[in-house]
Amino acid sequence: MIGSRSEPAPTELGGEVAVRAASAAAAVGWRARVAAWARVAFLNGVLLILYGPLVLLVVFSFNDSIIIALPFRGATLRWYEQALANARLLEALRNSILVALGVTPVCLLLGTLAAFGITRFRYRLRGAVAGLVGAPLVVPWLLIGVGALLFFNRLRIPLSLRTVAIMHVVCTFPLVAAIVSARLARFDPSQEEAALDLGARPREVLRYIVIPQLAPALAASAIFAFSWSFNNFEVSFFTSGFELTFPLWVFSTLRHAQNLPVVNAISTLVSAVQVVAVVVAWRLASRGRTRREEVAVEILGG
Amino acid sequence: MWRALARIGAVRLALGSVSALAVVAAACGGGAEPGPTPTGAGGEVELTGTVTFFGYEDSMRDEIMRPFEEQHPDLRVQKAPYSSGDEAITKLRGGFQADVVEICVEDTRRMIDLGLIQPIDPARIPEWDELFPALKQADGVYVDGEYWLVPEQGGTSGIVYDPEAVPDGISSFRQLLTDPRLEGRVALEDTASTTIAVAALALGYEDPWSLTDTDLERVKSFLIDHKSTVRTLYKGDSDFLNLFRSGEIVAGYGYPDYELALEKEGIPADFVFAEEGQLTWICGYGLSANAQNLDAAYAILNWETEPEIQAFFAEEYNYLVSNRRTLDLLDEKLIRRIGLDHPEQLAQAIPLKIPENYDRWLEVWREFKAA
Amino acid sequence: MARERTGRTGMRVAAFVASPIVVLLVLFVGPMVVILATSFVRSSITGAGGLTLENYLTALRDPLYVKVLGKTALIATLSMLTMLAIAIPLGYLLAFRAGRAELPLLLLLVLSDELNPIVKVYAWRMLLGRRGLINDALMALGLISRPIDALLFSDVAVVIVLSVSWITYTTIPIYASMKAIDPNLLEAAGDLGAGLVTTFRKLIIPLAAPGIFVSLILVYIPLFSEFATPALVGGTSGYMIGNVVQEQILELGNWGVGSALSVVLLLLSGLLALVSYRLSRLHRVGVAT
Repeated sequence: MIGSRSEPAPTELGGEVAVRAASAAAAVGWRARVAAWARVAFLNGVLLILYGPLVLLVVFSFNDSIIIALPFRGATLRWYEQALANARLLEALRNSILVALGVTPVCLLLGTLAAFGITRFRYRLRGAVAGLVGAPLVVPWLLIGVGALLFFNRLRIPLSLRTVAIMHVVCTFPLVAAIVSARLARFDPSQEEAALDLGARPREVLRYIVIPQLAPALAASAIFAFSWSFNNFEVSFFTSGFELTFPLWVFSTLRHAQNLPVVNAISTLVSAVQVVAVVVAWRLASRGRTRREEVAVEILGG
Repeated sequence: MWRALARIGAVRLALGSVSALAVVAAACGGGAEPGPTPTGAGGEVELTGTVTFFGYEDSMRDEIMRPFEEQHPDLRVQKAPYSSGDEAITKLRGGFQADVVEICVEDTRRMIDLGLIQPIDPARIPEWDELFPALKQADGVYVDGEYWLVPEQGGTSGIVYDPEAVPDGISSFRQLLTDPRLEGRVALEDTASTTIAVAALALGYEDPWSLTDTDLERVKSFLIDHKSTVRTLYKGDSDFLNLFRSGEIVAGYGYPDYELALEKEGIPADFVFAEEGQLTWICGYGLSANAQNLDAAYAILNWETEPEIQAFFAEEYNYLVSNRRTLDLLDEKLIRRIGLDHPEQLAQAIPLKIPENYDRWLEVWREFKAA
Repeated sequence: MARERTGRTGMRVAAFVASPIVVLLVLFVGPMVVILATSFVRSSITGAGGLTLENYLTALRDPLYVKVLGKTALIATLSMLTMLAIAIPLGYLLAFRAGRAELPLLLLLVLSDELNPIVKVYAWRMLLGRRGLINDALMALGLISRPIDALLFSDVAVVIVLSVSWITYTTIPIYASMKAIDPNLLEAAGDLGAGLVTTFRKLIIPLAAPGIFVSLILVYIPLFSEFATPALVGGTSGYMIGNVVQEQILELGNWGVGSALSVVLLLLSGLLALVSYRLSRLHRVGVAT
């Protein structure tokens, strides 16, 4: 999957992992077979725990009741209809998507830069730099939000979606830095150096060696960054002016029980769109990968 | 993202005004300026510039505010929603500039002390004389000899219970907290002020807002002694309805609209006023201390006081209204349901409040939770 | 890393860290300084005035805070251990055993965090409640005769829900650092007859130590400032130190005590970070030789 690493036997998602893994194991003996089954059971168990609650919510987004609780009372589409007919909600969604789309690439860039700076060099202030980058992850968002409001107010910077996005970057790129650092800390820099010694330009090194190596970490980071920005409430509340973001809409309407199923329906819809978007992106990315890997191997081979 | 979850703690229920799902536009084309007289009159004053409205999302929905905006094409209405009074205060304290601020009576004192709001001038509210006196004189509306908000909506509270699980009913807060049959089946609100006030009423204090340190000690041990009665502390309408529906609880401190919502779902529920008294929430609109467009701000206050607007709120949520003339637009049954068939009773209600020694209250609250 | 790169190092470091650092200095440290200033100011519901250390004393002196902090630490630690017990094998499976399913599984893991957190609580209620699916299933199987009340509105519920909501953030860094382990090493260990347990203990965990360290920073520390989950599924006792901070800032308007408490938490976190860093380093030393 990554770079020139040898890959285990190709398998597919879910159940097929079980089948193929099990059949491959048959030859090896019962211990291996048990191990393979245990692995599959474990993975499926984790997926069940993670997705069980979500499946319940999807089912209940069609429930004809304002109360999200068992038992199911009958199917309806009206929560979706109400959600899609709500202009304020749609505007809030649009704002949140725009902000998150702007915030994500900036976070990837800043986070990756910071991760390189922290893991690739040794220098006196390294600890301080790492501490500073980690700090926004530790300080409660409520405090960051209130602090930012006071700060912008002193500088007479008007609040808007722009101030919201700026503060989202501040709270989110350290997460990217943390994830990318975890990858880099164990990733041997000799490949980069070898490529540089062989005359590759830094940009080529980045494109053909570093990025492919970091791809899974960057993909995960991108989704997290998008999600953190998209779902952030506290920082958004204190740094927003007069444009709604999605969580602001959600929290300001949830006072009325009628709105809960609408929130559930629209959240379900948003999640579904996100899943589809990610799957499509993954498909597109995996189509191009083979060629890139070959190029990387060529460069490394000199 | 997990931190977004966080916010829930602050989403407090019913302590606010209202929302309207109904399309108000058709019925309330009335001028922003006095008089219910409808359609496109354009208001008597030319309003210009920008006005900022800081309140609950539902008070500024398009259905309510668009007709207003259409009548004042030269006025830009900027809307910023909040989801709890605590957040609103924090944001205003941080320097957020607004003109109209939605205020619930329990927050008035704090906002005055922090210099966040300015008094209103009743002379600029043409409907003022039509508003129920009990609401105008309520603590939190009238403070230090001045009026700080135009009361718009309100509601009472009491006990909601499952008549099948508790056939002989629950009549008092004391019973709610001490009846052994309710062990582990009661929900109270996750708000220090209401829950401690409920406990104080249960102990027989007539004014729950003036508890001394000794009184608070008593309330605290009472709450802690009966902690096992309480299954959980709920955070908002949805939370309560969910607990009730799923059988986690059979009774709780609650609001009349819970009974209605549960009935609509086919779940038996009864609402009763507690013998000890009715805690009442009242919310309305006031003026920010740093308001810049007072003319437009008053126009919004007046707009929200229009009988047509109030009527839609009442019909949608069964909240009590403040304008006597609104009653002409409501049917008998609804008027009875919201308890306005005898408006003079409003004077007996106990408006919610944040007491002077609220930090002591929160200490009690912490000890109750940590016990 | 081992190579000496003096001289030009400074420039190269600056090329990487300059922009993130400038962003943080202006937009994070700036606001923090503004609000930290309030932690030294006497403030109350009615306003502010006068320099003081009172806020810190309030934060540290109250025995209740210490008690709540102790409980917070217990819940955070239990949740963290639960998550590590799942995340380490999960990261291993993803990195070495998932084959082509690796990226899809990874994406599934990451996406599981997407759904609106408020409504998610209602799903947990349906699962853990008195008449929830788990109690119903246990009763149908005849394992229990009456519902277990403690599944919901208890510390158990808080640990369960916290663990599930943070598992993704625990797993990703561990996976990322495992991914960088040379699979040949694992094969070699297998060839030398090392069992799975030995391989984990002597090879995988030490090599994945940086990832575990990042997980601790990313998850364990923020667990200390959680307040929504405890309030929603913890019942009447769902009260952690994060709730106190929240209460001070929002309800009491005591930005001073709120930020003082946060500073105390921040220092504690720093200490925790240092300890876990040391631990992860020790592991590495043990393997390298």
